[in-house]
Amino acid sequence: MSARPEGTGESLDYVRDLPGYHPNRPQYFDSEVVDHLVGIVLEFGAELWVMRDRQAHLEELLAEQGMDARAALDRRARHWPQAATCHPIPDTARWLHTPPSEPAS
Amino acid sequence: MHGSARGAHPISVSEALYPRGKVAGPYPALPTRADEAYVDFIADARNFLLHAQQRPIAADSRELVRRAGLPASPDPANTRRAAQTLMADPALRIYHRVKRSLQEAFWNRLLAAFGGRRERLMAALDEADRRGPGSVEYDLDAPVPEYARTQIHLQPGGYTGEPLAGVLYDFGLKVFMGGAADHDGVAKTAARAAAAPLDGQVRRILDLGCSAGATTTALKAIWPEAEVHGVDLSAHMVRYAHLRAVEQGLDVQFRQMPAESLRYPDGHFDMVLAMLLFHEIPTSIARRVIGEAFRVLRPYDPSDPGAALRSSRVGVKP
Repeated sequence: MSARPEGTGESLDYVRDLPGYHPNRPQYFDSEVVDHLVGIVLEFGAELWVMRDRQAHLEELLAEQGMDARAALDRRARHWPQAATCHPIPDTARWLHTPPSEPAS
Repeated sequence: MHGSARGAHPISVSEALYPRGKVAGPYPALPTRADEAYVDFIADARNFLLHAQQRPIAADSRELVRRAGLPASPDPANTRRAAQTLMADPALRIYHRVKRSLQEAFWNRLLAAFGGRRERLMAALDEADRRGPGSVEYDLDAPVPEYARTQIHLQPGGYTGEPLAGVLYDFGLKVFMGGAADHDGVAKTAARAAAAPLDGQVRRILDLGCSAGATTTALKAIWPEAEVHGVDLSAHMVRYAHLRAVEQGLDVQFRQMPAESLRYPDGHFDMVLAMLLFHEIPTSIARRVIGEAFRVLRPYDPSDPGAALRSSRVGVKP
């Protein structure tokens, strides 16, 4: 296909330099990693919305059967020890703060 | 020439395409509630970007162009520099990247959703091929022009390389139109706007680049006595368009052929319409399409005082 539209004398070659020109590898940022991260964040957003939608519908279904699940959940006391959910976090933090080892000489 | 079922077991269209019913008129409901929620997210994010953000983004872009010392009006000589200026701006990069990612994510999900029941859908298309009202003619081995092999609007496989192209396009249009295509609203508006011959004789109507056939069926609904044809260069599109017309009980003839090379005699049609075709084809092809549209249009009688207005019978929507 010609890159020059008929009758205008205008070259369309510049479109090849546009970030979205390559159908399978569009690159809008200097690093491809950032491009992929945007896609990943949106994917997380979409899946989060899927879960919220599902939960809302589930609560609605339960309400139709006489159970106010939302209020019941809010009334529900935590029944497992806090340490069970939180202890991995300090472990992770310790790992993060471990100084990097010296590179092998 | 006529396509035929390839040994598929008979299956009802409802069973294959509409197991969860229809939404917003003719569109098949997505296979699962999770698919619907995912697409809701994409649609809302697109609406936010395209409607809420379009105006400030446009204003920012104009300001960037002004600061770069470039002319405010379109100037071919400076297009490359303007594009470079705009794409150097971080906010615009994010805006365009997010739009692109949303489009990719949408199609991926749609393909996974409908692709998950591919065999049933193909069997339904085979079944619809043999049913009326109306008819469909196609050749899966017909050569595809190079310009039509691209993934237009990023649709997976494009219009010619993916057998489910029809249903993907149909649902894609519904989402991208942000509700305007619900109940075939856009197609009906276009069909109503199509000008009839001044003598009022409408025996045959042609819809060029008919895709999923929404405009074609809308024309038939307005002109029930007319013979209505829809052509598209994608066999997958005309097959789905026929299925869609059969579902509506409308007698429409769908033919696979390129709009720039019509296999109809001169002066065969009283009205010719193209909807959402010209923005998807190269300029050189668009010129040939318009030439063909005038060729197959019934010639006017030069002694008729209203003849000069007849050209309006060729409806063009970019």
